[in-house]
Amino acid sequence: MAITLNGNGTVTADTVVLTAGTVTGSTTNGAVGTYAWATWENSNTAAAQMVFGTTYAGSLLFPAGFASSSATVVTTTGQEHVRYGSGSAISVKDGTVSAFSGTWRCMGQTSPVASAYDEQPVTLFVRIS
Amino acid sequence: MSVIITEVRNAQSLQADNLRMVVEINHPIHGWIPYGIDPSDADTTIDNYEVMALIGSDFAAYVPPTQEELDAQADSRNRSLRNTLLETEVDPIVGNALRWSALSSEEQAALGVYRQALLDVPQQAGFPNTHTWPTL
Repeated sequence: MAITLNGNGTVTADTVVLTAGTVTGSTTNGAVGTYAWATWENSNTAAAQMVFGTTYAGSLLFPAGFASSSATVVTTTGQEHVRYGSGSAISVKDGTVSAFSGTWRCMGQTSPVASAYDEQPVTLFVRIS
Repeated sequence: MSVIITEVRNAQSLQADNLRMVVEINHPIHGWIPYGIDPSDADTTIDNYEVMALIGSDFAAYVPPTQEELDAQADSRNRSLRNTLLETEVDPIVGNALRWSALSSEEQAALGVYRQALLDVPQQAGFPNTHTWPTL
């Protein structure tokens, strides 16, 4: 294999074989490269649509999830399935959690907000910096 | 792997001690992007101390919410809670003929009073900060 250092400072080679070791992405919550479900602080102050591919400051976003006030168990073909019941209130954000840090890219898209008081968008984000 | 940031703009303090900031950084890969700085951030890809040094004193001061804004938030939060109580405690019974007919006349009357009291919560003198919630 010939490796040449050219006069202009570039390096050229006939053949380069790269052997990759094990590369593991971070699994630390909130680290760059990790994903998280997120929502705005609350709907009455920042009920904006979350747009696929858009970057947001982590200080605007909070960890989110889904929980129903009236989940029910439905048994079909011997399997128990959990469903949210009619009239169920669905909570998405724990009031005790803090905002994220850094920069997060939206990896989903929520619908345009129709009412500033009634919608609390949640979707998936990845931290990019 | 650390990413070196050399340019920042439009910094805004998010709390009185100026330890939390939102700022735009010129990222070598992503270009100008919003970036949130928080002392609890454990990620070291970007040195937040260096970003804070770049910001220096060139940031918009923290603006605490006005009482009017706090009242508006409380108003929205409590109306949402009122709606949730109606939707989860009242409507499933009132809107279900079988469940409704299974109640005694006293229970039906109590539910009607409870429903009206929930609807009237925003009309209480202390709403949205010192009102009382009706109980069933």
